[in-house]
Amino acid sequence: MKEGTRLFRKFGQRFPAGTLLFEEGQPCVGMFIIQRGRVCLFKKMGGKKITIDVLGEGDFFGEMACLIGRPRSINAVVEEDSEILVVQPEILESLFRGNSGMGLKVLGNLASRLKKAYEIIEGLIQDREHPSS
Amino acid sequence: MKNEEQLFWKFGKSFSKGTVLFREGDLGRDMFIVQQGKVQVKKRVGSTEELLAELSTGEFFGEMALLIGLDRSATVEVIEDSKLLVISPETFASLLKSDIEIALKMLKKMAARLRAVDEHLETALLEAKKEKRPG
Repeated sequence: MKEGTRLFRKFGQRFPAGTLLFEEGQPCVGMFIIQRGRVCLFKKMGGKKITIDVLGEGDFFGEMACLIGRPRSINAVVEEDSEILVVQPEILESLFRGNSGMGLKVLGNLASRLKKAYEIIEGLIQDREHPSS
Repeated sequence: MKNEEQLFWKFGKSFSKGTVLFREGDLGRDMFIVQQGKVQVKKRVGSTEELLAELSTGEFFGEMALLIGLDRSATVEVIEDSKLLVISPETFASLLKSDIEIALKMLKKMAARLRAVDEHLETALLEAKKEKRPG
């Protein structure tokens, strides 16, 4: 059996398009790894939906709330019928402890996101110091 | 030999008070973990230098340069004689594998930092929007 199939048997779930996987404020029930399909991460600001990222095959999300033990800060909705691995917090810890390389992957991903956030902040500071209008 | 001593023997260096480990804008790929002592993280904002944080035993810094090759975004100075673990990109992966507790701690800390920055960002974006609105 292929690794992907084995993992899907253990952790996989099918979600039809439109499924809301989690919402801001909810407690963490796990991290998600997309095997097939597409998921949109978004935030609601002043009644508007602001897309943060659209993720596809091989991408993961939802690890932050598990790692820091705080409620979700964003929303996740399935955009096309998807097959997703749902890794519960207890299993997540052992996944990081194991030799899967998952810990390093997540760490690299967090660092890239931090970088992006810093860049946006720097842009905002520059805008404030030298307004173009 | 205790785990900590082993790590120091492998990756550790002693730095005396006053040493500047790196400056903002420097290139560099090493990450540091404070085993003993204290360092200050400072950043230029306009013409002044602001204190961002003081880090002591168990805390780490410089990981962004190591993980994604970012230039140093702040200056770090040793303010108490310190023992630091100096981790190069080459040894990083093997350290994470050999010391899972460090790996998990880093993951949690990074996630917490990212959440904090995201929250600041959200506030800043909202404020920027308000400022742009006329009147």
